[in-house]
Amino acid sequence: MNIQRKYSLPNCTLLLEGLSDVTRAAQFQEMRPELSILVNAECYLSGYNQPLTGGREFFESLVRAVSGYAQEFLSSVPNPQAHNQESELVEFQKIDSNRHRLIIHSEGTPEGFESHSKNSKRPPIEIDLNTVQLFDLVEAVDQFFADSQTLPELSLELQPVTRGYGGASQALVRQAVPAAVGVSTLAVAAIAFNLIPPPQMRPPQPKPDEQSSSTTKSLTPVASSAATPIAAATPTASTKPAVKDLEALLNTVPEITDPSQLRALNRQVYNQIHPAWTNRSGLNEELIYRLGVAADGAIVGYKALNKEANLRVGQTPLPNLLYNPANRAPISNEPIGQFRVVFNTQGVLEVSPWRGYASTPQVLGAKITDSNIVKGLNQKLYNAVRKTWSGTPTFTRDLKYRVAVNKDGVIADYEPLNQVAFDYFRETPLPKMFNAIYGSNVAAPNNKEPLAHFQMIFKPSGTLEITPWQGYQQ
Amino acid sequence: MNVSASLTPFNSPTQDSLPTILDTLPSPAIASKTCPRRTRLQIDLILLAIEALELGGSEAILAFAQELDLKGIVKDRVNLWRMRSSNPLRRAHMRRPLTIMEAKALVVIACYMARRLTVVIRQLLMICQQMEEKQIPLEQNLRLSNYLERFRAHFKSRMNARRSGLLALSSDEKLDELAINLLGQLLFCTGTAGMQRFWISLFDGEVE
Repeated sequence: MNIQRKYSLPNCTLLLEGLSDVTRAAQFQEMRPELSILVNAECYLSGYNQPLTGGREFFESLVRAVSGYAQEFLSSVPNPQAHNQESELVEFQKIDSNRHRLIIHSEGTPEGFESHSKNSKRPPIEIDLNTVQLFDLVEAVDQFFADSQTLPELSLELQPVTRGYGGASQALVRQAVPAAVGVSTLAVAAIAFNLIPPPQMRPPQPKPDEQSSSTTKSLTPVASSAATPIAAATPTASTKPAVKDLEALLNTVPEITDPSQLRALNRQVYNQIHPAWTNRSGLNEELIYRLGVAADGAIVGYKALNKEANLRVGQTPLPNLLYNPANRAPISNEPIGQFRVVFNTQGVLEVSPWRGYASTPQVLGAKITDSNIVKGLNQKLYNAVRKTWSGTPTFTRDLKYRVAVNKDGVIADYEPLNQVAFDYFRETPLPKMFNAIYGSNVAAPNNKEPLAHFQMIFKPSGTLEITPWQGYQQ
Repeated sequence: MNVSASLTPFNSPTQDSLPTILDTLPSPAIASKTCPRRTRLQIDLILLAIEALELGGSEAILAFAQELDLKGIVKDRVNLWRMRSSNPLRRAHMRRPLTIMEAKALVVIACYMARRLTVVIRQLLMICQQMEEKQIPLEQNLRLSNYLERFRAHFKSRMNARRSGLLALSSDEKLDELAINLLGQLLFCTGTAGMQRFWISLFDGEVE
């Protein structure tokens, strides 16, 4: 499936075209598919008619150089990532405090970089950007980084430039007299390239936050298979009909109140909305909705609970996530669970049962209870995770998960239990293990066979702890 | 045992810990728990630029501290003033350290304030660009000259020019240049990853 992603700012538009991995896409018809193979990248800059285009190598080089130069702009300390003429297609030069030269070397000469046969290449393209244009380019790149459905393996990695070059006092000089020093620093920076150690600090995926509406991000999956809700469930601009629908529905159907079922549904609702909520900026006020959800997790209706939520429903993924009667039997007399969903101004999604949990929820499904088998599975799980989890954690607090395995020790479900566990889940081997089996991170949990449940703790010290599941701590 | 409907679905371990918003900023790999000189200077200057953009800026800093649940760190006006006086350029410079946690809180606040001012910041920078292209002095634009004048006034009343050392911020031109540079930095703070970028940049050249 051909996919396009577009990150649009006033002075810069980044257009990515690619394909999604077919095996994964098939599982996930309703969601925004993941662009996992980049075919072509185009970068349009205001004032230049021709876009900068290239393949994966160009794009990766572009985001590295942009990211490094953004940091240099902020600190006035030369950033080696921005000036790597030797091995990068894209580099920057500082002309003065308000002029930044973007240089793109031509791609793909057969001689490669070793020969330095610059003569055989086309001359590099040079574009001078002012500070606002530079910012728009940086912002387009950052919006790409924040988009977990587009080349998720590329994420924002920031680390301070190491000492040894660009000490504090020099930085101060440059800030005061940027024009005089800006260009001469490049040569020195070039020497420092080889001294830079690999990244140590890897902050979490940026959490897009509120910002002014002057920048926009539009995402356009071509050939989208997203559900097109039909009239019965479609909210109009004012969402009034949906309001009626939800309330009318709730008067006629039983409500799901079982805490264990609510907890499972809560996850499904979160897993549907979280990846689909892409533009997390520009909210001045939190948006609160009441959702009706069928037993299979389909969102059957929603109601805006504050004025802002009513006005800005288009900024949320809710209209696209409403169940599609074409794909699913119509709701007739099914029980409905109700949830409170909050899109807050800091880009954080909160989902909770509308009336809370009447008692502590339990994990659904049959359990493996034989303590000897559980013990064996515990060890097996420990070995499997330990084998793939190494390196120095960047998180500073315990990541807690509930992990379930079947009788063969195959991972069947995992659920983050605290916020850090959610933020740093990519640092654990869990998503990869889960993905390898089910082709998705958010597939519905396997509840068909008896499972053994464990609490798994990843500690900042690198220690892994697995204990038999004791239930949710309320 | 009931979870009220307004809670997040996860049991956040918040009792013992600091506001989660600070977790979005990683702690730098520096030996001490306190900030280097340039970090202290830079944070105070960016706040100074915000105050020049917005009347009542220092009140707003405290209001944001409240709103962002950072009152535990930025407690009150005196507390804020003490933190900012760790800037070595200050007339009332105090040899008080600025902890990493305090610095994070101030950066979070600065970036949220910058975001709210995105439109103004962008407009001022574009005006600046146009004036330079046409080679018109910046003071001829009323909005820009208001910002520059206020920045200079704030700077002169609070900073000790003799301490500025290498910065050599003795003339109005130098101060204007600094003010415009800070405006550019503020624009970067407004971005999707602006807070993280600004934060990490504060430690450039400070880590081993």
